[in-house]
Amino acid sequence: MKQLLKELKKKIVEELQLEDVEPDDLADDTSFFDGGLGLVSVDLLALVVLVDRDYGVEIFSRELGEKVFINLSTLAEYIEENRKKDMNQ
Amino acid sequence: MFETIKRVLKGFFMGTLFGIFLLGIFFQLLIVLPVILVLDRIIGPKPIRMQRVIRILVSLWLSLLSGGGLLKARAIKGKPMDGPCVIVSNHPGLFDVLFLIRDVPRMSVMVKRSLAAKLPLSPVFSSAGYVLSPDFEQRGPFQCLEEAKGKVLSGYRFMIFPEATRSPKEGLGRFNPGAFLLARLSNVPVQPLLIRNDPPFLPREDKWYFPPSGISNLTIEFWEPIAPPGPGKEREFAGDLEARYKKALGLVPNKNTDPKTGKGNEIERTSSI
Repeated sequence: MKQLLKELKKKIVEELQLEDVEPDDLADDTSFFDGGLGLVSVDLLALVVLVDRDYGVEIFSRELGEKVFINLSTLAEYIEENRKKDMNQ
Repeated sequence: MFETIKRVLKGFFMGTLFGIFLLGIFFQLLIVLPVILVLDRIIGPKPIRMQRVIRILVSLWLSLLSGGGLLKARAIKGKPMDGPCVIVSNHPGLFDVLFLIRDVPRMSVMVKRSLAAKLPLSPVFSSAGYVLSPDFEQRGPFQCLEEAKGKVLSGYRFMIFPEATRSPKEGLGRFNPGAFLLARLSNVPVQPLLIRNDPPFLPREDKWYFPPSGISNLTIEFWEPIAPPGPGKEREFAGDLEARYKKALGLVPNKNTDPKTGKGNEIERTSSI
């Protein structure tokens, strides 16, 4: 789980090209939205694509998305429980 | 000096046009919207009604913009595909979306929530079937994705700027794969559309009250629709399309760009175009 969180932080920073953010500086409970990474809708869609592509985990519905995309930990937990593949990209 | 005076005068005219735009908003809110709402109640809701009104008003406003020597659409190459699709476009200037609303019928767009908040336009946008971007309080991003998918599945074209904001001046921002996720989930083609704007009219860096001194020319090119990406292929699809846009615009990716992450994706302008 710790390894997955570390990997996830790195991928998110790279995918979203977050300036001035170092993956190691992100806390596990960093929120995706206000007060955290401050992502906007298209960023979130990019994360949905990333999670699907790299872990084979589909989070397309509103009900699920709102439960999973709370912070880095909730996302990592859901991926850990549902991952089908680890392409290690 | 003469150039500066010309730009300042055009800035005044631009201010007047914004005033007219505001009057148009009140006209829609106070006159058009109540009529449309009554029709919706009697005959049944149809976003296309409000879209038609918006297209007429936008068309009139753009003719003022053109008549004032500010921005003129010169030509449209190709045509929008029949039936539902996801239209993606580069976004060089502030008014691109108005040209697209005018020229592409039966189209829904995702509207920035901040725009609906600054201008009291939410009810007009809702009536026209436009999707407001999420505010993370009442409506989350997944709700927007579902609404957008609903529009596409009910037969509308859905327009998204994959750069998510205006392009950098004479450049192109990184394409976000989210637009292509919508196409995949809705199982409809992606129709790319290229906007050329020379000189760029009110790009992100410019102030509206200091527009270019000469008339800015805008051309719209519809490209051939392409099949939506397969599962997990949205990032690759976005990267490929971004490269096509750069080539068409005479931009080349930095040699140091990481093809996987897009890092170092600064652009260089070629001298040939």
